[in-house]
Amino acid sequence: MRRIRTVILATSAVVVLGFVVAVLAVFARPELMPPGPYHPRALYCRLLGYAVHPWVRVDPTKLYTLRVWSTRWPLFRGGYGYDDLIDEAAAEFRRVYPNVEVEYVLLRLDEVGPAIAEAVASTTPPDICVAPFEPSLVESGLVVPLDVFMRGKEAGDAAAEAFEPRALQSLVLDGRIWAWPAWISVQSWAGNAELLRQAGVDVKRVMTIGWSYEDILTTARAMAARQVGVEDRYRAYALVLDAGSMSTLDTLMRAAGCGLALAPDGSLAWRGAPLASVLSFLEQAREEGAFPEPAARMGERMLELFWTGRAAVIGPVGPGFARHVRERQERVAQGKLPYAYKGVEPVLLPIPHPPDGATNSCISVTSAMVFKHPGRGGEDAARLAVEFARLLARKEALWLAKEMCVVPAHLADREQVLGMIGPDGASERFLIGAAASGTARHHRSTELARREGEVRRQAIAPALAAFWEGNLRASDFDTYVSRNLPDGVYGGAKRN
Amino acid sequence: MSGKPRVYRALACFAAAVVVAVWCAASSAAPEPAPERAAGQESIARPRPHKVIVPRCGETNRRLYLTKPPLKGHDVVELQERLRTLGFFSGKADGVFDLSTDAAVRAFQRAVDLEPDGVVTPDMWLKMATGPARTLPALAASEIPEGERKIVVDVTKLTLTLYAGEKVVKQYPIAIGRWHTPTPVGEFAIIEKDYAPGGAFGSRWMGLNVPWGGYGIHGTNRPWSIGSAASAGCIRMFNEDVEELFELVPIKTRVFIIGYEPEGEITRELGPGATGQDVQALQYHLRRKAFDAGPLDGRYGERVEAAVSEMQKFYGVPVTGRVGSNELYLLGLR
Repeated sequence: MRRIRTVILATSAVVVLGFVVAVLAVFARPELMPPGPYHPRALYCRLLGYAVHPWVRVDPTKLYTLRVWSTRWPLFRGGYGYDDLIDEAAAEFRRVYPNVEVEYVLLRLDEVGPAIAEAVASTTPPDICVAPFEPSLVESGLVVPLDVFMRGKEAGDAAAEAFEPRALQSLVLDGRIWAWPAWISVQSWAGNAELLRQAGVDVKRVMTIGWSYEDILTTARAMAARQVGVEDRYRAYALVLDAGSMSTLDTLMRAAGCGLALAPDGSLAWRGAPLASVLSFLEQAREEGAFPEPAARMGERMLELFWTGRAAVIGPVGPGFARHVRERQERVAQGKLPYAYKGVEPVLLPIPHPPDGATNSCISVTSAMVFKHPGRGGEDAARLAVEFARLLARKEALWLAKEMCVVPAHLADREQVLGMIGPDGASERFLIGAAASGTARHHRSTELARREGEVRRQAIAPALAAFWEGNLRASDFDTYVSRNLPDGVYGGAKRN
Repeated sequence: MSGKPRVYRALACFAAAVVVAVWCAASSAAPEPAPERAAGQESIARPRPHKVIVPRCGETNRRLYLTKPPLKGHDVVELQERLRTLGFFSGKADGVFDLSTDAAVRAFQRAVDLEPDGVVTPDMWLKMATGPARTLPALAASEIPEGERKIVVDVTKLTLTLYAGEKVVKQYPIAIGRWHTPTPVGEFAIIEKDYAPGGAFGSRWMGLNVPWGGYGIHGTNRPWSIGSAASAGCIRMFNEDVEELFELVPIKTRVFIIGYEPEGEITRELGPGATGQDVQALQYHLRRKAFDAGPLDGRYGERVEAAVSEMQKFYGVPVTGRVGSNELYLLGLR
């Protein structure tokens, strides 16, 4: 009996030990076992709370259809457009997964955000949406976290380390990564290097280390001194800004380190010293004659003044401006604009910062988010969506880098952006540097994002309009905004 | 006895003078005889009642004759060219009804047994119609496939093609506008249909919604001009062809006129409500940049405004929905 017991115990120990070794071996080398719900890695992921992970088994006999929403980019070159890119990505994906079909809907630039928010609210999102990252969508519980796909050597070039850290960081909430970073767009100012040099500006230095409000005002004074006696219709201006929208104030506040108008606790963040500093700068620039008048509408002549050599700096600009520069350079090279003024050397410049500050780059990150569908689809479809989203995000970034000077989030692809604006690549290197040092700003909750929109529309935009019209001084801006805050937002004179 | 015969003679002369005067007055008020119809032109029953549409494209039915100052116009050019083709006129087709043109008209009238009065009437136009005749067979109802009807006019090939869905129903030869009175390109629709006043407009008229002029598709009394650039901008067809097409296309049928780039130049600020060739040029350039501005109909509506806003947002300029200097630079027009 004793012997039998010993044999049974020894056999059990060997079996258990063997099982543990096998599990550890498979865990260390997951390719030793096919994917499935009992794969050790799968069990581990489930333990950590990931329902969708790389070890979800995809049924090769089942037909999957992935629905993708993205932007209808108005970019065509030789008949090749964005829909061709998606078709190519789908064909590439089908070589690995022949049982997957891809359907896509392309929406206008300003439609994608509201469309996906509405779809998530009604729990009918697509499988994948490529759009600027919106963290407030995460609280719906429909977004698939992707960090488990970015770990380990199995991740390959999808590992977290392969991406621009700042871009990845902007997609992190509660310790998880919620989308594949695709590309980074940088908001900056643009300058005519020729005019700036004539005004004594060291353009290369500005592009490298930035410039302050005082540097801009010095430039404006130098330009004014050179133009004594010049008729108004030939006068050049130091600054031509988009005064008709929030973007100028928005980017200046972000460059001053202020980010969003509302703080995470719902109070007004745009107030006090930072706001006063920005508005005082704009007011002083106006008094120095840096802007064309009427200042409230100067943005409507931005390009005309720039391309006729009458604006030293315009802004804010984004990837669309780089695209426009490229298109114009091509037209000039083809002889289609024989009378174009040739004395403009476009460069991209950082947005200036307060005198005691440093350059803060303004970036936004476009990403590919994956959604799961309660009651339909399943984890296998979601896993396929994750993999296709990764493929599509990278392809789109590479294509847009060549067409629009966005910075791909994948570190290995960053060099693709070179050569778009100037032959020496200085502007492009500035963009890459800005993408690496900037921070995207978002509200974490839908409610806070909604209130941010209300504050901007109801309180800040009217104050800004009055400021540009010359009816509101910088010193009174704060008070004006505080008096017009919507209910529930506190800051300044009005309290909740 | 000698006084009474003198009185009778005077009375007789007076009576004769009165009779002659009355006869002359009656002759000048006599109605004109009805014009002879050329072979193949059947009598057309007109619907009753109907509104008479007055096309505004520049075609006219006026009588041409020598006068001071001389008559000038597109119709005079056509007359001179036709008489030259027929061998009666050797001068320059300059559009001025001068002495040489008058002489040619009278010579032609004598040759075709018309009163050589030097007046060009609709009757005389028909007499000059000895050019190419319509040879297309008529369509049978069973040949017309199902599908939404649309018309495509190609001004480079001088053809008008009727489609039902994506299928070609029939292609017709046409005449288009001359170089200085070009047929407008773009995307329009038929907004009125009627039996035209005849003469230069032939037997049918289908008006298009071109914002800057009264253009349309109509028949003609100058069938020799079909296949050439001869009109004042309208699209001319053989009367038999336009009568057939008239029955096949309802009001609101879309008409795509293609062949060359719209010619308008944008020299003013454009915004919602604007119409014109410059708006059409804007629509064309937006479309070339892949922004959907709707049909090239020369109207700045919601779709154009949305396309302009989309372009502004894409390139990062102030979003106003209106076209000013920024937008001209974006479109590559400056």
